[in-house]
Amino acid sequence: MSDSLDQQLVLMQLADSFFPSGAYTLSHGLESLVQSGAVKAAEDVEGFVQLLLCNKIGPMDLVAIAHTHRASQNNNMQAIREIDARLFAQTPIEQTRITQRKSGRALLMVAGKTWPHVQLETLATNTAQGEINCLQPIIFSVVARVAGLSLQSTVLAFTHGFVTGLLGAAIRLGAVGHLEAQQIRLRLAADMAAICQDCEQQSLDDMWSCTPLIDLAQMRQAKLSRRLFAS
Amino acid sequence: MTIPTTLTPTLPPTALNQTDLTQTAIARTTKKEAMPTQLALELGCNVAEQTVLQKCYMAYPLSVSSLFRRENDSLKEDQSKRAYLYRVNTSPALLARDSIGVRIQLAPGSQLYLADQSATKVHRMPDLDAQATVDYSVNLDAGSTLEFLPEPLILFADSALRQTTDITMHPDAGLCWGEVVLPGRLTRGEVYQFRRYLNKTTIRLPDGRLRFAETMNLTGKENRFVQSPLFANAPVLGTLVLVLPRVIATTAALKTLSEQVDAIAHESAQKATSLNLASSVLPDGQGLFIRVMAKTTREIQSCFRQSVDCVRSLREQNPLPYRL
Repeated sequence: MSDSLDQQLVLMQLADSFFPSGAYTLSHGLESLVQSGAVKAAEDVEGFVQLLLCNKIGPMDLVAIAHTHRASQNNNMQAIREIDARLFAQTPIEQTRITQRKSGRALLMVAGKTWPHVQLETLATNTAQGEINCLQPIIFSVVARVAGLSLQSTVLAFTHGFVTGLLGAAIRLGAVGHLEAQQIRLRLAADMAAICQDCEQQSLDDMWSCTPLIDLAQMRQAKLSRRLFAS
Repeated sequence: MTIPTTLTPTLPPTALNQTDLTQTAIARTTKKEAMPTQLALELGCNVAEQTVLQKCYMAYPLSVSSLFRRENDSLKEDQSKRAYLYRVNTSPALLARDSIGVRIQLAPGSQLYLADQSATKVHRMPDLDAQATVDYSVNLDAGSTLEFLPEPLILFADSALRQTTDITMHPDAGLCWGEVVLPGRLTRGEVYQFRRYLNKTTIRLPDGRLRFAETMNLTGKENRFVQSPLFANAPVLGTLVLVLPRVIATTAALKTLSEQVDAIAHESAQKATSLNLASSVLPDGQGLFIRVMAKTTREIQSCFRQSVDCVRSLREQNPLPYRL
């Protein structure tokens, strides 16, 4: 099998909801917005995902992922720990940090057994010793790199997993139906492609976010009296 | 017509310590490029342990009022030692290519409440390559406390502002740092007509390690989400960072503070105000990050003052001496 096909299969494995990444437990504040009535219809869900993609995931998580991928390529574990610390400090919402840590640790455990690699072993040791926060985007990037994905495929897999996970959450929350979710996913393709291209050029100092209302929803998520999702 | 640029003296920085800016989360410090400074304040304690101005450098357009002590009715003797200062800006607005530098250093044990005399207007900048810059450099020694609740920034149509806030603070220092942003002259119907507001805030330990960072990149005219109620459901945006000294930043204290902030939100909801706020524990577990939005500046300022009072209450200090 060619390298290209091999890579595509890894890409599909990592991006598929079948892969136990923990993403199914996250709604990124959508549950809070559905409960408050701010998100009712398919167009609201589409706007929510679009906002998160363009104003948070693209300029923050994907930039961190791109730098982590390059650090992994250079076997620079210290740089990976620094990027993890930077992303942690730049995540002001506690519940997001908690869920990213949990998802990252779960991903590291699964990936360490699926693609055994010295970098993943080092990250597991660092995590046990409290030397790294083990945030999910950082771990995902290293896992994808050691599994053979290029930088472009890595950010694409992460973005696809994020969008499908979030649309899956929207279905379970009753905000959209299966058919609408597929249509939204298709319409989001241009934004998904744009953020995957833009992230490679950005420096870590340029990471930013701007989702004021969603920030409030994410902060409130942890205080909901009844909830399906961790975030 | 060309909009004149304010005169910004290119004087060398004062004798204050230069704050280090690191590239990454771990201590990798390089000296920050010297930037113009219009206001440099060094405060410390006198023999009576009252906070006093030890050095003060002022250049156009910034100055400060004389020092006030507003807590004469203190329940505890040591609580009248805090200094109160008003920052005065004699320029009508921030204009294209203005570059403003503010440096604040608090020596061990000193306490400063710093406020603004008036809102900061960011004027129209027809030159698309032009922007104004504001740089804050703050250094807080052990046991010191800074409370800074500035008046709002008003982003006029076609304006662009880049603001950086580099705070280095000892784990035993305290901080209340607020910001209120108006996306235009709302009463004129001018909303999100500015070009860009970029605000980078970092809080570090003295050894350079990053405690908290936030970069808000707020675009105006080119913001495709402005009409979305999921972007913001009120025009005025506010952020307040409350950092407690390590000795009192317990889990129980943070829970209490968080509940008190929630109570402010609950009370606002009962009064049917437009205030929308929530809080979360900071990454280093030593304080709260509060995000707020409202239809009016007044509502956010009132919320900030109540939040600062909550911190003071936790620290067994007197509340702010006045309210909106």
